[in-house]
Amino acid sequence: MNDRVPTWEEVARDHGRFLYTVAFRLTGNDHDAQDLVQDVLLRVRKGLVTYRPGTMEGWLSRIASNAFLDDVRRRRRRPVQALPEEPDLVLPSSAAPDAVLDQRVLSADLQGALAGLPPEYRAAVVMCDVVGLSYQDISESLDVPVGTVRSRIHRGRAMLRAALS
Amino acid sequence: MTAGHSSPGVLHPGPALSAMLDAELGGEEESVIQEHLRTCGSCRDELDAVRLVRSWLRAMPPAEPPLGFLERLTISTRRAPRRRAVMGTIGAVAAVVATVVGITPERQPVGPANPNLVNATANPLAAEATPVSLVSRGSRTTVTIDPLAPVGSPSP
Repeated sequence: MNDRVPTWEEVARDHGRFLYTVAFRLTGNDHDAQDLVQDVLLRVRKGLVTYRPGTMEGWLSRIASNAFLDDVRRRRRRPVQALPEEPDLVLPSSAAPDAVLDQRVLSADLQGALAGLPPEYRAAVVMCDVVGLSYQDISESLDVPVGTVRSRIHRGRAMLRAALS
Repeated sequence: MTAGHSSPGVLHPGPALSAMLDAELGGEEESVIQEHLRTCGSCRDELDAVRLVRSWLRAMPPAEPPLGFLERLTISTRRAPRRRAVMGTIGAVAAVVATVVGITPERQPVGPANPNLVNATANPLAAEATPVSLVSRGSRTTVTIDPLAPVGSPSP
Protein backbone atom coordinates (compact mmCIF):
# COMPACT_ATOMS: atom_id res chain seq x y z
CA MET A 1 0.00 0.00 0.00
CA ASN A 2 1.28 3.43 -0.89
CA ASP A 3 1.40 5.56 2.24
CA ARG A 4 2.19 8.79 0.43
CA VAL A 5 -0.55 11.36 0.72
CA PRO A 6 -1.90 11.93 -2.81
CA THR A 7 -2.19 15.38 -4.25
CA TRP A 8 -5.64 16.66 -5.07
CA GLU A 9 -4.72 16.53 -8.77
CA GLU A 10 -4.00 12.82 -8.36
CA VAL A 11 -7.31 12.42 -6.57
CA ALA A 12 -9.10 14.14 -9.45
CA ARG A 13 -7.27 12.12 -12.07
CA ASP A 14 -7.44 8.70 -10.42
CA HIS A 15 -10.80 8.92 -8.66
CA GLY A 16 -12.73 11.47 -10.71
CA ARG A 17 -14.88 8.83 -12.38
CA PHE A 18 -15.69 7.13 -9.08
CA LEU A 19 -16.47 10.48 -7.52
CA TYR A 20 -18.77 11.40 -10.38
CA THR A 21 -20.69 8.13 -9.97
CA VAL A 22 -21.21 8.75 -6.25
CA ALA A 23 -22.19 12.37 -6.94
CA PHE A 24 -24.64 11.33 -9.66
CA ARG A 25 -26.25 8.71 -7.42
CA LEU A 26 -26.64 11.31 -4.69
CA THR A 27 -27.85 14.26 -6.74
CA GLY A 28 -29.70 12.45 -9.53
CA ASN A 29 -28.63 14.77 -12.32
CA ASP A 30 -25.51 15.65 -14.26
CA HIS A 31 -25.39 19.36 -13.49
CA ASP A 32 -25.56 18.96 -9.72
CA ALA A 33 -23.23 15.96 -9.89
CA GLN A 34 -20.56 18.06 -11.61
CA ASP A 35 -20.96 20.80 -9.01
CA LEU A 36 -20.71 18.26 -6.21
CA VAL A 37 -17.54 16.71 -7.65
CA GLN A 38 -15.89 20.11 -7.81
CA ASP A 39 -17.08 20.93 -4.29
CA VAL A 40 -15.52 17.70 -3.04
CA LEU A 41 -12.22 18.43 -4.75
CA LEU A 42 -12.11 21.89 -3.23
CA ARG A 43 -12.70 20.33 0.18
CA VAL A 44 -9.98 17.81 -0.55
CA ARG A 45 -7.55 20.62 -1.26
CA LYS A 46 -8.20 21.97 2.21
CA GLY A 47 -8.36 18.68 4.06
CA LEU A 48 -5.86 16.25 2.59
CA VAL A 49 -3.86 16.19 5.81
CA THR A 50 -6.65 14.23 7.47
CA TYR A 51 -6.53 11.50 4.84
CA ARG A 52 -5.62 8.05 6.10
CA PRO A 53 -3.97 5.78 3.50
CA GLY A 54 -6.13 2.91 2.34
CA THR A 55 -9.48 4.65 2.69
CA MET A 56 -9.38 6.91 -0.36
CA GLU A 57 -12.71 5.98 -1.94
CA GLY A 58 -14.43 5.69 1.41
CA TRP A 59 -12.97 9.03 2.42
CA LEU A 60 -14.05 10.69 -0.82
CA SER A 61 -17.57 9.29 -0.56
CA ARG A 62 -17.81 10.59 3.01
CA ILE A 63 -16.84 14.05 1.85
CA ALA A 64 -19.28 13.81 -1.05
CA SER A 65 -22.18 12.67 1.14
CA ASN A 66 -21.59 15.39 3.69
CA ALA A 67 -21.19 18.04 1.00
CA PHE A 68 -24.42 16.81 -0.58
CA LEU A 69 -26.33 16.85 2.71
CA ASP A 70 -24.86 20.25 3.62
CA ASP A 71 -26.12 21.59 0.33
CA VAL A 72 -29.55 20.01 0.81
CA ARG A 73 -29.90 21.53 4.25
CA ARG A 74 -28.67 24.91 3.03
CA ARG A 75 -30.88 25.23 0.02
CA ARG A 76 -33.96 23.17 0.79
CA ARG A 77 -35.11 23.84 -2.73
CA ARG A 78 -38.16 21.74 -2.19
CA PRO A 79 -39.83 20.33 0.92
CA VAL A 80 -38.06 17.30 2.29
CA GLN A 81 -39.99 14.42 3.71
CA ALA A 82 -39.85 14.05 7.45
CA LEU A 83 -37.76 11.26 8.91
CA PRO A 84 -40.04 9.51 11.39
CA GLU A 85 -38.39 7.22 13.88
CA GLU A 86 -40.44 4.22 12.83
CA PRO A 87 -42.25 4.98 9.59
CA ASP A 88 -44.58 2.34 8.29
CA LEU A 89 -43.09 0.31 5.54
CA VAL A 90 -44.86 0.42 2.21
CA LEU A 91 -44.01 -2.83 0.62
CA PRO A 92 -45.66 -4.60 -2.26
CA SER A 93 -47.92 -7.37 -1.10
CA SER A 94 -45.84 -9.88 -2.96
CA ALA A 95 -42.19 -9.32 -3.77
CA ALA A 96 -40.86 -10.78 -6.97
CA PRO A 97 -37.23 -11.69 -6.35
CA ASP A 98 -36.93 -13.59 -9.60
CA ALA A 99 -38.01 -10.66 -11.77
CA VAL A 100 -35.62 -10.12 -14.64
CA LEU A 101 -35.48 -6.60 -16.03
CA ASP A 102 -33.33 -5.00 -18.64
CA GLN A 103 -30.33 -3.62 -16.79
CA ARG A 104 -30.28 -0.30 -18.58
CA VAL A 105 -33.95 0.36 -18.00
CA LEU A 106 -33.63 -0.78 -14.42
CA SER A 107 -30.63 1.43 -13.83
CA ALA A 108 -32.51 4.51 -15.08
CA ASP A 109 -35.59 3.60 -13.07
CA LEU A 110 -33.50 2.91 -10.03
CA GLN A 111 -31.73 6.22 -10.36
CA GLY A 112 -35.10 7.94 -10.60
CA ALA A 113 -36.35 6.12 -7.52
CA LEU A 114 -33.17 7.02 -5.65
CA ALA A 115 -33.81 10.67 -6.39
CA GLY A 116 -37.20 10.28 -4.73
CA LEU A 117 -35.75 9.14 -1.40
CA PRO A 118 -35.29 11.60 1.44
CA PRO A 119 -31.68 12.83 1.11
CA GLU A 120 -30.61 11.32 4.43
CA TYR A 121 -31.89 7.89 3.36
CA ARG A 122 -30.32 8.29 -0.07
CA ALA A 123 -26.91 9.09 1.38
CA ALA A 124 -27.00 6.01 3.63
CA VAL A 125 -28.11 3.72 0.79
CA VAL A 126 -25.50 5.08 -1.62
CA MET A 127 -22.71 4.76 0.91
CA CYS A 128 -23.74 1.17 1.63
CA ASP A 129 -24.75 -0.20 -1.77
CA VAL A 130 -22.78 1.95 -4.22
CA VAL A 131 -19.60 2.59 -2.24
CA GLY A 132 -19.71 -0.53 -0.05
CA LEU A 133 -18.96 1.07 3.31
CA SER A 134 -19.72 -0.70 6.59
CA TYR A 135 -22.47 0.54 8.87
CA GLN A 136 -19.83 1.71 11.33
CA ASP A 137 -18.05 3.75 8.65
CA ILE A 138 -21.35 5.27 7.52
CA SER A 139 -22.23 6.05 11.12
CA GLU A 140 -18.95 7.91 11.64
CA SER A 141 -19.19 9.64 8.28
CA LEU A 142 -22.70 10.98 8.79
CA ASP A 143 -22.31 11.43 12.54
CA VAL A 144 -25.40 9.40 13.40
CA PRO A 145 -25.77 6.22 15.51
CA VAL A 146 -25.32 2.83 13.85
CA GLY A 147 -28.96 2.05 14.62
CA THR A 148 -30.01 5.07 12.60
CA VAL A 149 -27.83 3.96 9.71
CA ARG A 150 -29.39 0.50 9.84
CA SER A 151 -32.87 1.99 9.82
CA ARG A 152 -32.18 4.43 6.97
CA ILE A 153 -30.65 1.75 4.77
CA HIS A 154 -33.48 -0.70 5.33
CA ARG A 155 -36.27 1.82 4.89
CA GLY A 156 -34.53 3.37 1.93
CA ARG A 157 -34.34 -0.01 0.22
CA ALA A 158 -37.96 -0.75 1.10
CA MET A 159 -39.07 2.59 -0.36
CA LEU A 160 -37.09 1.89 -3.53
CA ARG A 161 -38.75 -1.49 -3.88
CA ALA A 162 -42.17 0.07 -3.42
CA ALA A 163 -41.38 2.78 -5.97
CA LEU A 164 -40.26 0.21 -8.53
CA SER A 165 -43.04 -2.30 -8.04
CA MET B 1 -37.23 -6.13 16.81
CA THR B 2 -39.96 -3.69 15.95
CA ALA B 3 -43.72 -3.69 16.30
CA GLY B 4 -45.43 -5.54 13.50
CA HIS B 5 -46.56 -3.80 10.33
CA SER B 6 -49.07 -6.50 9.54
CA SER B 7 -49.42 -8.47 12.78
CA PRO B 8 -50.26 -6.27 15.77
CA GLY B 9 -48.55 -7.42 18.92
CA VAL B 10 -45.87 -9.38 17.09
CA LEU B 11 -42.29 -8.11 17.01
CA HIS B 12 -40.67 -8.14 13.59
CA PRO B 13 -36.98 -7.62 12.81
CA GLY B 14 -37.51 -4.65 10.46
CA PRO B 15 -34.16 -2.92 9.80
CA ALA B 16 -32.27 -5.91 11.17
CA LEU B 17 -33.24 -7.75 7.97
CA SER B 18 -31.06 -5.42 5.91
CA ALA B 19 -28.33 -5.63 8.53
CA MET B 20 -28.43 -9.41 8.20
CA LEU B 21 -28.06 -9.18 4.41
CA ASP B 22 -25.09 -6.87 4.90
CA ALA B 23 -23.42 -9.21 7.42
CA GLU B 24 -23.77 -6.54 10.09
CA LEU B 25 -25.41 -8.74 12.73
CA GLY B 26 -23.99 -10.86 15.49
CA GLY B 27 -24.58 -14.61 15.30
CA GLU B 28 -27.08 -14.67 18.15
CA GLU B 29 -29.24 -11.89 16.71
CA GLU B 30 -29.21 -13.54 13.30
CA SER B 31 -30.33 -16.84 14.82
CA VAL B 32 -33.30 -15.10 16.43
CA ILE B 33 -34.23 -13.51 13.10
CA GLN B 34 -33.90 -16.77 11.20
CA GLU B 35 -36.19 -18.40 13.71
CA HIS B 36 -38.71 -15.61 13.25
CA LEU B 37 -38.56 -15.86 9.47
CA ARG B 38 -39.63 -19.50 9.60
CA THR B 39 -43.04 -18.47 10.83
CA CYS B 40 -43.53 -14.95 9.43
CA GLY B 41 -44.46 -14.64 5.78
CA SER B 42 -44.58 -10.84 5.78
CA CYS B 43 -40.99 -10.63 7.02
CA ARG B 44 -39.91 -13.15 4.39
CA ASP B 45 -41.51 -10.92 1.74
CA GLU B 46 -39.81 -7.90 3.25
CA LEU B 47 -36.47 -9.68 3.24
CA ASP B 48 -36.95 -10.69 -0.40
CA ALA B 49 -37.84 -7.12 -1.34
CA VAL B 50 -34.79 -5.48 0.24
CA ARG B 51 -32.53 -8.28 -1.01
CA LEU B 52 -33.71 -7.64 -4.56
CA VAL B 53 -33.21 -3.87 -4.35
CA ARG B 54 -29.81 -4.40 -2.77
CA SER B 55 -28.77 -6.60 -5.69
CA TRP B 56 -30.05 -4.03 -8.21
CA LEU B 57 -28.19 -1.19 -6.54
CA ARG B 58 -24.96 -3.15 -6.44
CA ALA B 59 -25.29 -4.10 -10.09
CA MET B 60 -25.70 -0.52 -11.32
CA PRO B 61 -22.97 0.40 -13.78
CA PRO B 62 -20.81 3.46 -13.05
CA ALA B 63 -22.34 6.75 -14.12
CA GLU B 64 -20.74 8.11 -17.28
CA PRO B 65 -19.53 11.71 -16.92
CA PRO B 66 -19.97 14.08 -19.88
CA LEU B 67 -17.23 14.12 -22.47
CA GLY B 68 -14.28 16.19 -21.31
CA PHE B 69 -15.53 16.66 -17.75
CA LEU B 70 -12.77 14.63 -16.15
CA GLU B 71 -10.16 16.44 -18.22
CA ARG B 72 -11.55 19.84 -17.24
CA LEU B 73 -11.83 18.87 -13.61
CA THR B 74 -8.39 19.89 -12.44
CA ILE B 75 -8.51 23.13 -14.41
CA SER B 76 -11.87 24.28 -13.10
CA THR B 77 -11.05 23.25 -9.56
CA ARG B 78 -7.75 25.08 -9.69
CA ARG B 79 -9.44 28.24 -10.96
CA ALA B 80 -12.30 28.31 -8.48
CA PRO B 81 -10.46 29.98 -5.58
CA ARG B 82 -8.79 32.41 -8.02
CA ARG B 83 -12.19 33.77 -9.04
CA ARG B 84 -12.78 34.80 -5.47
CA ALA B 85 -9.35 36.41 -5.27
CA VAL B 86 -9.99 38.35 -8.47
CA MET B 87 -13.29 39.60 -7.14
CA GLY B 88 -11.47 40.80 -4.02
CA THR B 89 -8.98 42.65 -6.19
CA ILE B 90 -11.80 44.27 -8.13
CA GLY B 91 -13.37 45.39 -4.90
CA ALA B 92 -10.12 47.06 -3.91
CA VAL B 93 -9.79 48.72 -7.32
CA ALA B 94 -13.37 49.98 -7.10
CA ALA B 95 -12.64 51.41 -3.66
CA VAL B 96 -9.59 53.24 -5.00
CA VAL B 97 -11.59 54.63 -7.91
CA ALA B 98 -14.34 55.83 -5.59
CA THR B 99 -11.84 57.41 -3.25
CA VAL B 100 -9.97 59.26 -5.97
CA VAL B 101 -13.16 60.50 -7.59
CA GLY B 102 -14.60 61.49 -4.25
CA ILE B 103 -11.64 63.56 -2.98
CA THR B 104 -10.75 65.29 -6.29
CA PRO B 105 -14.02 66.64 -7.68
CA GLU B 106 -12.23 68.82 -10.23
CA ARG B 107 -10.98 65.65 -11.90
CA GLN B 108 -14.36 63.97 -12.24
CA PRO B 109 -15.22 63.21 -15.85
CA VAL B 110 -17.88 65.56 -17.17
CA GLY B 111 -18.68 63.63 -20.33
CA PRO B 112 -20.05 60.14 -20.87
CA ALA B 113 -18.79 57.38 -18.63
CA ASN B 114 -15.28 56.33 -19.47
CA PRO B 115 -15.30 53.04 -21.40
CA ASN B 116 -12.40 51.73 -19.40
CA LEU B 117 -14.29 52.34 -16.19
CA VAL B 118 -17.33 50.55 -17.55
CA ASN B 119 -15.12 47.67 -18.57
CA ALA B 120 -13.60 47.59 -15.10
CA THR B 121 -17.03 46.89 -13.68
CA ALA B 122 -18.18 44.46 -16.33
CA ASN B 123 -15.00 42.51 -16.81
CA PRO B 124 -13.02 41.81 -13.64
CA LEU B 125 -10.21 40.13 -15.50
CA ALA B 126 -9.69 43.13 -17.80
CA ALA B 127 -9.62 45.45 -14.81
CA GLU B 128 -7.02 43.32 -13.10
CA ALA B 129 -4.78 43.28 -16.16
CA THR B 130 -4.92 46.90 -17.25
CA PRO B 131 -4.76 50.24 -15.42
CA VAL B 132 -7.94 52.31 -15.30
CA SER B 133 -7.85 55.86 -16.68
CA LEU B 134 -10.18 58.70 -15.78
CA VAL B 135 -10.16 61.54 -18.30
CA SER B 136 -11.56 64.95 -17.44
CA ARG B 137 -12.53 66.95 -20.51
CA GLY B 138 -12.66 70.21 -18.56
CA SER B 139 -9.17 70.17 -17.16
CA ARG B 140 -7.65 67.75 -19.67
CA THR B 141 -6.21 65.87 -16.74
CA THR B 142 -5.70 62.15 -16.92
CA VAL B 143 -5.63 60.06 -13.78
CA THR B 144 -4.36 56.53 -14.19
CA ILE B 145 -5.00 53.97 -11.49
CA ASP B 146 -2.78 50.93 -11.49
CA PRO B 147 -4.42 48.06 -9.59
CA LEU B 148 -1.00 46.73 -8.73
CA ALA B 149 0.12 49.97 -7.13
CA PRO B 150 -0.28 50.43 -3.34
CA VAL B 151 -3.70 51.67 -2.28
CA GLY B 152 -3.80 55.45 -1.85
CA SER B 153 -0.94 56.24 -4.18
CA PRO B 154 -2.28 56.21 -7.72
CA SER B 155 0.27 56.83 -10.42
CA PRO B 156 0.27 60.35 -11.88
